[in-house]
Amino acid sequence: MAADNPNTSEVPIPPTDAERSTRSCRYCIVGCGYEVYKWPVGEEGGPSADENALGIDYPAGYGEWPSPNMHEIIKENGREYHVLFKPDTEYPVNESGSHSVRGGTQAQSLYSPNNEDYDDRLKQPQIRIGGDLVTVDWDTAIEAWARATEIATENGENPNGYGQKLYFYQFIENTFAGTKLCYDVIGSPNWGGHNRPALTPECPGLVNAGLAEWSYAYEDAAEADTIVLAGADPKENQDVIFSRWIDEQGDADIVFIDPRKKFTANYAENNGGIHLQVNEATDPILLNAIARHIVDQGWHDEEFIEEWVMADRETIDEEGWYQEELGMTPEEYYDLLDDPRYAPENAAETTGVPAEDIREAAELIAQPNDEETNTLFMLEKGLIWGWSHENTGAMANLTLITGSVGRPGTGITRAGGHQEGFWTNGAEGDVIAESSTQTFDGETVEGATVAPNTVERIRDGEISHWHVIGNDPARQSYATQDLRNAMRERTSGAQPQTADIDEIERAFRERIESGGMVVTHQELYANTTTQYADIVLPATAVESGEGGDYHRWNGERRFRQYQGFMEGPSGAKEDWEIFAMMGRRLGADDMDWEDSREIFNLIAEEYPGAGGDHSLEGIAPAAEANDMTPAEYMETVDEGVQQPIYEENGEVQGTPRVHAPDGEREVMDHRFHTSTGEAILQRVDWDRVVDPDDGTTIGDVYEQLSPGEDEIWVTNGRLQHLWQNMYTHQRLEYIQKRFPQNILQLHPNDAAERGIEAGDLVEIVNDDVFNIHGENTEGSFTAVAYVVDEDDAAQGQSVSEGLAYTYWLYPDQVNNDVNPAYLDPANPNPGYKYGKGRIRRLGESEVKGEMSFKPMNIAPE
Amino acid sequence: GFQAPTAEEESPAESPTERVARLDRYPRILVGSVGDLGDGDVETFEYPLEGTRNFLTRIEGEAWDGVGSDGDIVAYNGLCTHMGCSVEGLVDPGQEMAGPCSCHYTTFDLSKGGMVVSGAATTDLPQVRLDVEDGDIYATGIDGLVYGYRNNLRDGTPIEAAAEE
Repeated sequence: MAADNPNTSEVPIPPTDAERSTRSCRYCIVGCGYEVYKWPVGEEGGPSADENALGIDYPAGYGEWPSPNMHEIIKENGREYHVLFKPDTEYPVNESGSHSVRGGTQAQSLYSPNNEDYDDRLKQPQIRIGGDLVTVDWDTAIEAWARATEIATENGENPNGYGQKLYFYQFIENTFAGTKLCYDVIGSPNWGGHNRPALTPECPGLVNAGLAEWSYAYEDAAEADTIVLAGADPKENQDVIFSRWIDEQGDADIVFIDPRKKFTANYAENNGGIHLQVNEATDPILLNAIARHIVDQGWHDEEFIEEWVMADRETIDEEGWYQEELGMTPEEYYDLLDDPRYAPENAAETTGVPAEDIREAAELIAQPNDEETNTLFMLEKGLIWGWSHENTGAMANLTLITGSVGRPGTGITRAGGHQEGFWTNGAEGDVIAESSTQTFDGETVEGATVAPNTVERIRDGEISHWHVIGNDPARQSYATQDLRNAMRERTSGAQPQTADIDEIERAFRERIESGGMVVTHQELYANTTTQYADIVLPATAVESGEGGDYHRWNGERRFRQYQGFMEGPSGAKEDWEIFAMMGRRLGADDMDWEDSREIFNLIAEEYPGAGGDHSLEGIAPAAEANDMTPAEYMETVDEGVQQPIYEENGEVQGTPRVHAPDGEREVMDHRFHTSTGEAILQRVDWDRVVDPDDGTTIGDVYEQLSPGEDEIWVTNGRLQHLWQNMYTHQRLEYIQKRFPQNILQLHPNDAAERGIEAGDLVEIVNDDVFNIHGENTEGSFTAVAYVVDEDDAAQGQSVSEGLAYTYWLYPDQVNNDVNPAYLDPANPNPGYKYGKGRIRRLGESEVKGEMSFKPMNIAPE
Repeated sequence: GFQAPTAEEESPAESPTERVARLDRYPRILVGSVGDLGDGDVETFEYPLEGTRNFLTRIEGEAWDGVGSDGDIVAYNGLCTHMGCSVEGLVDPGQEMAGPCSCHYTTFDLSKGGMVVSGAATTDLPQVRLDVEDGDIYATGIDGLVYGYRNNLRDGTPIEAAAEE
């Protein structure tokens, strides 16, 4: 029975004098603007426009309504305040006022001591003593962290003993301070991001082609004639890109490449586009087949290729070891495409995509009847977390052979993730070169130094103090069940018996000297990794407005300031401040910052990133011209500014898109980011050898990853309601109600064969989790079967037979437990998407009666 | 979360504007008849204020809080809770769904209290509480806030039938 939900019975109106600020949404890369209203509980505005801060007459009209989930009551210094988040219709990203389920519920994600769902917020530093986490003071916690680091690194002699796992997604002030601690102060190369184990490009095939991962402007989605969405779904992950720029403003035909027939697949087919329902893990063959048909038909842009694509083998070899191994001249590339494997008829057999659909997609992409090709290529995790080089390189190749880049309505871009602020002081290159012991051996190249895989170094014992900040590697890595076993074993040794610092040091030393490990976890809420932590440090949530002012950028490189508007728990600290305390304790004399603005000013003045796609170069000169600090100046840039940022007439100017042709302002040394300014085609080859020792090819790995008898593919991704590791969304009543447990989408035939019905709890077991480093391991997780009857599947089954789909980061039902340890040796990013397993019914789930199992892929016809 | 006083506990404050009604509680209003509502029928009615449009339908199977002998009669507010576009014409009783809304394509499960199946709405579709007496269907309240309102009983004119009740 539906319960009367108190959260939905009323929402208060802000009075005209409510405090108002603007910021971007805390969540996805789109970076919509939001207005934040804050006013004391007990006061309320009236229902006509002149009586409230919103300036609207109640009942509110289209897009004007603050829903109950846009509201929350927070408590500060004993006083309660209403907080309301509304889309900012004056912000250039989301002027239409549309919002995602994430953005529209972010007020509910604010920490409030009034709300029992947030009771587990970390509020004080803790140290595990005698098995339990015990509250300690900050001095003890930082000293314990420092001693663990000193033991692990043998007082700095062996910096590889320390490993840091930090977010990419946070604000530049925090990533600057964190990477400075790791690379500069400690000198360790063992740095991993929240979503991958090493400091590697997320799209190696793009970056090494000389392309930027984020090169377009949102308006290009509205102006494109064709949009290729490969392993990317803006409808679920970039709602406002889809609703405003693709659907409302745009009229492109969509080529949707995805193993699932989901909403956007049906939307594409109902609107002049096409869905290529590719068999799991066969994307390189499909993308090559499309490229081959384009070249066979002579639809490629020879003039562009002649001018902008590197054709000299020697120059390619000199570009760097990656290009030497995996770059190609156009002639080599055409030869590769000539392999019969990539003929549409043959590719159809491997990929499951009919040959006529491959040809139709090629025509939509190349637009042979138009003078210019206006195709926008968008890719995301479905490609990135697979064959990371081949999948991203194939998209770069399609972009380059069609010459569809750098003009309105064209380009190549990632299409997902979070806003980013990653920034360093540049120390990482030297540290990796000097201290990384991980190398790459390919078919051509030998002994190239690469950034170390930190997750593997947890397993093999090289890292003795793991400092994890703002993420949950115990379930966010690959083959996580095996990783947790290693973490449990390596943290199970000696443990302090009192909070005396010498006793803590004794225990840590004993454990590390016996091959064990100390884990420090710096977080907002306890998660799976916290279960293994010895030192727990409570942070503030700057993305939700706790603490000072910060900066980061969105999916069109729009860089802006986020102003703090509330306090976090009084015992928590901002991450940069924690890093600074640690750095000073280890002897750094340049980390005595007063506030986050001081770090921003330092970055803008000393490390603006000369020449990069994300350059901040114009900010300091513009600030100086206005007699302000950089942070003060950014406070006045209401609409943000697109990177690279330059200065003109005393103001910052933005750059709508990267890779604009010559003749426009050159923001970098060259149009494409190579030594000559020409882009480099990438080798996308199913026969590429990835293990020179035994000659294993990509195709061989594919065979090993493929489901055996009784197994099916178990791939993963997002759901529109859920965000990342759900550190907020597991607390939101509205969202939990829709997905109270993880789900496993199953084809009804696969379900029936196993006696499974919608709502049953199932177990997914992979007793053969591929491991490129050694022995295969085991993993399993559980989920609720989401099965749609044939009668109800009005626009088709979203999963085909032999394929299951699940959310990849659901707490306690961790899909990554079955996902393989396949990492491209040239660029160790994990192939998270290529899981498999046996599915068995455990019984009826407790939530069967509470959940909806209706089809999620119904698009307008 | 914010827990508002219920209409029964506290009357809304005196309104500063003329157009605002002051309903103390949800009225009980006749909105249809079990015998007249066939399979696949979708009827509309206003409740509890003028202009607050809802739909009444009989879905394929049993519904949460459904009425009638098979528990398959339900009523919901007709505005999508994402941005306020109407889903009245997009009700599919056979599929037991409303939507996809023509604005941003949210779909709602009519058998499960208006739960969002997929889409960007931030609350479920408000369900109208129903009661059946002698074959007549009465609306007796709404679970959930109707799009555009701060309170379902404020800022509008009570429908005529409320006075007759």
